[in-house]
Amino acid sequence: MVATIVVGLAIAGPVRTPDGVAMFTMGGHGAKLIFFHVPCAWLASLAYIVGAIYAVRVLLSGGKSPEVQADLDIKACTAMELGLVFAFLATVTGSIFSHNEWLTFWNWREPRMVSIFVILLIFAAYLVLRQAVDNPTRRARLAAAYALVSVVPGMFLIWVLPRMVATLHGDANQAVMGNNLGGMYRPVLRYLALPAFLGLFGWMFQLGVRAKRLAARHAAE
Amino acid sequence: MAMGTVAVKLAVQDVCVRFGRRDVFGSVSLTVASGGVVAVSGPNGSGKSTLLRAVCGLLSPSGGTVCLSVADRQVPQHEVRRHIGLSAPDLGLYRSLTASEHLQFAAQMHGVDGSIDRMRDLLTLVGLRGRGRDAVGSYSTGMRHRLRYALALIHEPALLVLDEPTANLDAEGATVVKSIVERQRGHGAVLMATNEASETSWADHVCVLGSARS
Amino acid sequence: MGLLAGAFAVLRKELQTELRDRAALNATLLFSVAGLAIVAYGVGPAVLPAVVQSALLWVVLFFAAFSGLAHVFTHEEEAGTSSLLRLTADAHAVYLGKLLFNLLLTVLIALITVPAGLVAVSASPDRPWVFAAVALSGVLALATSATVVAAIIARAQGRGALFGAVGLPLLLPVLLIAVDATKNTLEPEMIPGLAMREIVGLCAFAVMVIAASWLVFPAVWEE
Repeated sequence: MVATIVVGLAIAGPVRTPDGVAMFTMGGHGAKLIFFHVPCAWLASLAYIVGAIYAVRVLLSGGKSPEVQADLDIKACTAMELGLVFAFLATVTGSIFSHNEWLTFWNWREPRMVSIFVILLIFAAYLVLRQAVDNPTRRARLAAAYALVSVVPGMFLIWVLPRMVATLHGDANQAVMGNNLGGMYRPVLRYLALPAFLGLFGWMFQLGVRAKRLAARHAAE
Repeated sequence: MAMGTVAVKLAVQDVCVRFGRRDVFGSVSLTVASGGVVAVSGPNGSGKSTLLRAVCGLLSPSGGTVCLSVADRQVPQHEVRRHIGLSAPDLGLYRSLTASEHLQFAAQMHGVDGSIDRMRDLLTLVGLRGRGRDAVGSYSTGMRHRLRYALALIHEPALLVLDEPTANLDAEGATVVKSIVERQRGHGAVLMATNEASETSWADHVCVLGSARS
Repeated sequence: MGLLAGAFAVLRKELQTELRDRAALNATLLFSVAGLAIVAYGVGPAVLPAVVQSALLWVVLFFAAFSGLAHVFTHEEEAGTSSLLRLTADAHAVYLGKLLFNLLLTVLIALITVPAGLVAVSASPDRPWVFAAVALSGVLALATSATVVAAIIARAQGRGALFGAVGLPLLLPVLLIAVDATKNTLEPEMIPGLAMREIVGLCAFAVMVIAASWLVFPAVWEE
């Protein structure tokens, strides 16, 4: 039921928004991709933050029982998996959008594109690392350690890199950051898409955690 | 080397270790106290070595607690290594370093006397006198095992943990080990894993682990 | 015992083992030379724009360094000596000692790769000192990130491939900044002061990675 409402909200908003907006050269239906792209990028960042918080808790839970640590590890892993999915969707939709607007799928000098790509790689690397460790407690600790160390490049991508590249390229690319969206776009994103996608994230997170707990219990029996 | 007695107590309570879905052993409890020698025995695969590794903090148990107290003070996890000396056949050594360099490195890391005299005494004790400047890569299995004893003893640990104490050693080596165990009795305590009747006879108490369960 | 004394003892042990058993060290150095040769051959007599020169230099340096930086932790696991080290040394002393070793190794690789690489792509920096500062700060960031990743992957399976897969995402921001900054120093008219920001950025990155590694290292190293 929750899922229906959430998805309904996420779709209804964009459909009822007028096509095209002054700032987009192309306009038309293509511009509506932004209702999907921006929330995906948000959720990817959110997943990263949630994953990192659980990673800290995994490392702090060292002295406690292995079960507590394993459960925190399940949550960290679920967040990272969702992050991979949403970062992938954000990359693909962003790339299509970029092609519609600027006739290029990819630009390595655009900090946001580089950031989302590196964050995508970090999610993937986190999951690959997990597959390479058999011992569950060691897996939890190594993965958490990696998640935390990767916060450094994450912070760099968000705060430092855009400034450095901006010195070379001016702020021509800043429009893509969504600061100057016109018309109905901003309210629809903020009041419909944001809560809808947050709900979606919460629901998927719950599902993922429960599925992993079941799998763990099944493996133990 | 004169050593004073240290009040040491190792309490292993309900420790179990699981590798994946397999229990290596479930719920082992034992205590070792100053002046005591405790042996752990059991068939191959019963988890003797695993238990010793858990005691040394090289492996975290899936359940239960390992608690080491020295001078009536519980030793926090990250300081356990200062009070434990481990000798085990699977403890790797650096092939390209000499025995003296191993000992010097260990002395430096433990913050104990690393003088040439002391190194020589230790090497003499384990019967490696005169071979201290040879790279460990050129050592026989038995000689390596002797070096492990020197390394385990360098910081005069309160608890000596021995896995298969006389594995790969000749008769003379076995006598050396016996004297080391007897000496440690006066300094602290010994926990060893063995199936040799000659070695279990050194112990005041033998703890038998069950067979492997799956 | 002081932490620094412990770190230097670990560093000395690494130097002793690596210099006596030179196979790993030689393989790394040979790999950088081979990488250079491929670049030099591929470039030929062509005159390249600064951005390509800079990118080629860093690609060679990254791969050369990456081929050697994991060894500092993997050799302990492969030779079964890690338990001995865990019983002997304090975790932070191990981390610092190995970090120092990797820093030295990376600087050595850079000393070979970078000057030869400049010749290979026929580039001459306008201000050699600024160029050297950029290269050094990039090397710092590279070595610090590679060291913590090496510590993590040493305890997993399939170490070789994993090191690249897991390490690269961390290093991509470094690579981007370093390539940009180096490009500026290779332009015919270098804009004064432009590289300063990147040098500070790369050093800050290195410091933050060391801080993060310091916090997580005991969890990675100890059981």
